[in-house]
This record gives sequence, C-alpha cells and structure tokens, in this order.
Amino acid sequence: MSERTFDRETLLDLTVNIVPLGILTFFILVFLFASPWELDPFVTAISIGLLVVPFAVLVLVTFVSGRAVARDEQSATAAGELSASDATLDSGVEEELVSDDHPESDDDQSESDAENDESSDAEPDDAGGDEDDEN
Amino acid sequence: MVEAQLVLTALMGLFLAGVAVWLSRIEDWRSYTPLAGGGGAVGEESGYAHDEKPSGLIRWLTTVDHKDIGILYGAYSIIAFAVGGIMVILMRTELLTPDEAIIGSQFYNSLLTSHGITMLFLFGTPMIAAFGNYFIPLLVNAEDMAFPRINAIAFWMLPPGALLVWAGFLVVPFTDIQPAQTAWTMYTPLSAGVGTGTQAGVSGLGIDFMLLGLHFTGLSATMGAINFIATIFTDRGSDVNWANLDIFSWTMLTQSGLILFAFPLLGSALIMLLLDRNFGTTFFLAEGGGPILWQHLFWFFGHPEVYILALPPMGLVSFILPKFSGRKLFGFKFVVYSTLAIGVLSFGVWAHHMFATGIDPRIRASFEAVSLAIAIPSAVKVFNWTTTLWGGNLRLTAPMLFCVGAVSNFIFGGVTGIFTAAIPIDLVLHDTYYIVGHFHYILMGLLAFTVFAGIYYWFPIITGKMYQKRLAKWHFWLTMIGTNITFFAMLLLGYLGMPRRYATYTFGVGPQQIIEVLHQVTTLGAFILLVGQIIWVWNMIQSWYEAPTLQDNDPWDLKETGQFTNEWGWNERRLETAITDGGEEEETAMTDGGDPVDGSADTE
Ligand code: HEM
Ligand SMILES: [Cu+2]
Repeated sequence: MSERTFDRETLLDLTVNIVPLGILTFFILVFLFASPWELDPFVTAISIGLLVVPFAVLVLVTFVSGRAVARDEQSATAAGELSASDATLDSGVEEELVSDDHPESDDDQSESDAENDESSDAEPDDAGGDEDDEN
Repeated sequence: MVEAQLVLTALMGLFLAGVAVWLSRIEDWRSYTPLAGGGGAVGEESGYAHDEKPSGLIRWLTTVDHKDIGILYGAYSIIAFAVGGIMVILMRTELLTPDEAIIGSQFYNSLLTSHGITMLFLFGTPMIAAFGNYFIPLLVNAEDMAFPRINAIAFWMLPPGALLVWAGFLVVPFTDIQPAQTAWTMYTPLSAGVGTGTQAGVSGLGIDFMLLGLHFTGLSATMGAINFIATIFTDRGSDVNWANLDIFSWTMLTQSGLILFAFPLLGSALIMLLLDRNFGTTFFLAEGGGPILWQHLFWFFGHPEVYILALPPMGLVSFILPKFSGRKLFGFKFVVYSTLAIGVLSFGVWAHHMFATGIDPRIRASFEAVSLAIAIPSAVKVFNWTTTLWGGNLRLTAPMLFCVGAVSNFIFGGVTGIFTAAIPIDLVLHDTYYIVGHFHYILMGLLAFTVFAGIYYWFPIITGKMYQKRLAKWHFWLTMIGTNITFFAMLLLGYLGMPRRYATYTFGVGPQQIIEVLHQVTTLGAFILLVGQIIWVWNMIQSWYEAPTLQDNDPWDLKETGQFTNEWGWNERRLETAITDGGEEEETAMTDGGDPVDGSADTE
C-alpha cells in the first residue's frame, strides 16, 4: 500500500508546494554559489539554515498530510459512505459538478439533480497541476 | 557555572515530566469528553444539551455548549470591533488637519496603540474562534468541542483581557496612569519604560495593564487552538476523514497549529518585558539582550499572527464562494496544501519586518527569499477562487458579494506585500503609510470582509431568521468603497513618504498639499466605512429580533448544486425535530437565495 499511497493524482496535488520549495532551492544555490560576500561559516550557516529549515519542515508537512489524505481517500472510496442525512461534505471527493448542468437562471427551480457521478476531483486538479508545474 | 545551569535545567525537566506523569495517573482525562456518554456516537442532534440549559443570564454565564460559546465569542468580538472602530474614527478626525488640532498627539498615540491591539487580539482572533466554535463541531460531525469546559474558560479569559488592555483609558481620568502609547508592536526601549516620558514610572502602568491583558488573550487563544486541534483530530464523525474534511476546518486546523507555536512565545516575551519593567531585568535593554531581541521575539510571533488572522478568512472564502458559484471549489487539494505551506513558511519570514534595523544583510537576504516563497501559496488561492468563479453560475447574494470583494482586496494586499518583501523597496517604504495600506487591505479587506460573509451566510443557522437583503447590499457597497478609498489613499500617502504613527503632518515630508488632501480622502473613506457598519449592526439586531422565522431549511438552495454541507444538514435535522415536537407557530420568510422575490417585506 505504501507505494501506492502516492499515486499520480496525489503527486499532482502536491505540486502546489513544489513551487515554493523550488524558490527556496534556487535561493539556497544562489547564496551558496553566487554570493557576493565571502562565506563566513557562522553567518552562512544561519542564513542557509533559515532556508533549509523551512524547506525541510515544508517537505515533511506536505508528505505527512499528503499521505493522510491519500490513505483516507482510498479507504473512503472503499467504504463509500456518507452521513445518513442528505448532508454532504465540502470537498472534491464526491461528485464534481459540471458547470453546464447548472440551472441557468436563479428563479428556475428545475430539480435537475445535476451531478455527474465520476467521483473524482481529478479533472480540475490535473489542469491546475500542470499549470503550476511549469512555473 | 554552565554545568550548574545544565544540571538545573535537567532537574527542572525531570520535575515537569514527573508532574505530567502524576497528573496522567490521577486523572482519566478522556472522561471529560464528550459531555455525556455519547462515546463515539456520530452526527446526532445534540439536543440533550438544550433541555439542561438554565434560562436568562445564567445560561450565558455557565454554558459549555459550543454554539453558545461561539455566539459569546462573536458578540464579544463585535463589541471590540466597535470599540476599535470608534478609536480609529477619532484618530482619522485628528488627521483631517495637518496640525494637532482636535485630540492631541498623546491621546492619538494611545488610541493608535489600542486600536491595533483591539483589532488584532480582541476582534480578529476571537472572531475567527467564534466561527470555529459554532461551526467546526457541526462541520466535522462532532458532538461538541473536544473539551467543552476548556472552551468556556478560554472565552472567559477574554473579557478581563479586554478590560486590562483598555484599562489605561478607564483610569486616566482618576489617576496619573496613562494608556499605553507603544503601538501594537511594543518596541523596546520605549515599552520597557526607559526614559522619563509618559511611558515610564507610574504613568507607564497602562503598559503593564496592557501586557497582562494581552497575556490573558494569548492564553485564551492557545486553549482555543488546542481545543480545535483535538476536536478535528479525535472528535470528528466517522464519516469525516482527511480526504473529505471541509476547507474551513483545514484552515482552522492550520491556524490552530500556528497559534500553538506563536502565542506561547508571545506570552514568554511579554513576561520578559514585564520583568524588565518591574523587576530590573535587562532582557531588552541596551546593556542586556538589546532592543533587537524584542523585535526578533515579537515578530517570530507577529508574522505567524498575521497568518493566524488570514488563513481562516481564506478558508471562509474557499468555503462560501463555491456555494454561490454553483460548483465545487476548483482545485480543493491545492488550497489545502497551500494552506499548510503558508502555515509552515510563515515561521520563516519574521525578520522582513526588520529589514531597516541594520541586521546582517546576508541574513536579511534569506528572509527576503522565504517571503517571496510564501507569496506563491497565497497566490495559488487567488487563482483557485478566480477559476471557481470563472464560468460559474454566480448568485450575488450578500455573502457572495463580500467573498468577491475579499478576493479583490486580497489581491491588493498581497501584491503590496510582495513589493515590501523586496529589501530595496522596503527600505524606502518601511514605516510609511504604504505599510498601513498593505496590511489593512488584508485585515479589513480580507479578514473583516470574510467575517461579514460568514455572518451573512450562516445567519439563518445562528438566528433561524434571514437578514434584510437591501441593507446588506448597502453595507457591502459602503464597505467596499470605503475600504478602497481609505487604504488606496494610504498607499499613495506612503509613496509620498508620509510616515506612519503620527498625529500631525506639519513636518514637511513630501508635497504638503497633496498629503493633506490624501489624508482627508482617507478620513472620508473611514467615515463611509462607519456608516456602512452602523447599517450592518442595525440590520443584524433588527433582523434577529423582528424578522419572521425562516421556514426554508435550505435558504441558499445548496441542495441544487450538491453543496448542502454538514452544518446545514444539522440545522435541518434540528428544525425537523422542532416541528415534530410541535414547535412554535411561524410566519413564512423569503430568502436571499438569489431569487428575486421582490414585493415582499424588506425582510427577505
Ligand atoms: C503575500 C504575502 C505577504 C508578504 C510578502 C508580506 C510582506 C510584508 C512585509 C515585508 C512587511 C513589513 C513592511 C515594513 O514594515 O517595512 C509587512 C508588514 C505587515 N504585513 Fe504583510 N505580507 C504578506 C501578507 C500579509 C498578510 C496575509 C497579512 C495579514 C493578515 C499581513 C499583515 C501585515 C502587517 C500587520 C504588517 C505591519 C506590521 C507592523 O509593522 O505593524 N501581511 N508585510
Ligand atoms: Cu510579516
């Protein structure tokens, strides 16, 4: 299970945090190799530490939360159960709506239960993921 | 000497661990939760609590029900918002003229300090806790908060906190004590009582009061944060998991984590400052740790604090905006992970508030780098919101208007933030009105706007009534226009070099005439905001008392788009229970669900 926890979906979702990590990496490299100052061990350690520590913590938090979400996603699709009432949950895991299906006007109370059942948030996330990837 | 200290530290650590072990043996902590033997019962109506509630004032003084405590938090915060607002109206009135004409600079400085502290600690943080308390247990299908009594204590720390923060104003007519005039950042040496001004000696006691008051509010926030974390982790219903946790709960969880690491630090720093002031220590004096130490400690708390105040509002936008766009939030997971990223990175940027203090430029550069990195997750959210709106089926109800306004304002606030994150630009703009414009675009433009959005959105759940639609629109437009007039003029003032925190502007920085006009424009904007807020308070109070009870369980037509979330489900079950119980006779009411139901009473 552990290898499959981070499937393509999840990795794409996590790309959002790869951008700030990339920026931090860029600056770490710049400060190490293109610094206009000479490397003073103490100050360099602090200034690089100020970048490395947030980097490491961000990697850790992203990893842990991504794993928790991915695991629950798998067990939830297995169980496939929501609360007994008609309350729904506010995340993308359930039905994703297609905008075309929306009632066109406000006063139109057409009871079109306009939900498409491919239970996945993959579509919009994928698009966004690709966009962000290129940054 | 060093060895002795180490030994002492180790002994102290052992002692504390011993206390913890002892406490865990004598008490079965789990027995405190939940309130009654519900064990893991999930998502049921917690109606039993209602029967036991005493009536009248006693109910509010003794309640441990998360919804009541949420209302208490909300009422408290709105009173604080009004106090802070009146303070700033006085200040803006003084700034109508360049010289010291109306309230005088000492009183101005006192108001400035209290305005900042009040808005951040007595309005912002508790107001967010109000939403959290009322809605997190409903959203995650918990019986109540994990620790209902700690929840009550956390709230009841706040009124004494407020009294102490405002104590200087309350006693100044009778004593020599002056209200604190340190600004909200409480920079030493001024706040340490050095020198002979009004902040030293007896007249400086106002600062001690304020520091103690802040300590109360910090304790309150920390207890609240622990409670939110415990609730979301351990008390959520079996149908709520990490994959489908709603976005508001995610942001509250992250925010609570920030509080947990930031506020205890503020508490310690406040105690050190109190010791410096009263017991002759030298933590922050030039001969001791130095004033820069205070700035480091303060901003290590202070920057996370600004995100403590920004993340849940971002969550509210992410939560409410899709409801009126007819579709789910675009890229839900992106918003979740970028929220966590902001949470982590917000601890790595504190010295961007200290670029102008002469700290080592190599270290300064690192802070610039992280400040640029943190802008990405913030921007990601803006793109997600915009994409959610794009091609959506928009319904411009009051909560939606405030959400859209908040997104717009946040763009101004965020972009101006990125500018100041660049050291060369910051050295020019630091300590000018530009900074004031920047953070007010976020604090007023995002935080206050989303608070309004949340209150309008959940008004039917909290009160069982609907607010008055027309007044709400007035409120929105006055607030939107007022905010942008006030704070855009501030950005311009900053470009012209107008320094912040002055009661006068006769000292000839920049083009005097333009500065005067811009100050007057700013004051005009503030008055517009005042009018808007008066309308809002009137709307809330009158609608709560006089509007007909709402029959509709789904006033926003959320079922149509499959977004009828848990808190509305809970509300529906509650109302249905009430009806089978043969509830009271009720008039029908219209909703602000975007349906043009004109011709009916203005209460819709
Ligand atoms: C896009 C992300 C942001 C960046 C890069 C950023 C950057 C900055 C910088 C560099 C300063 C210091 C300016 C100076 O004093 O010279 C500053 C001040 C400030 N920012 Fe931001 N900011 C961001 C977002 C926020 C948010 C979300 C909030 C509030 C919710 C906020 C609230 C404040 C406050 C209150 C101050 C002034 C503190 C004071 O001196 O009294 N900022 N910001
Ligand atoms: Cu900051």
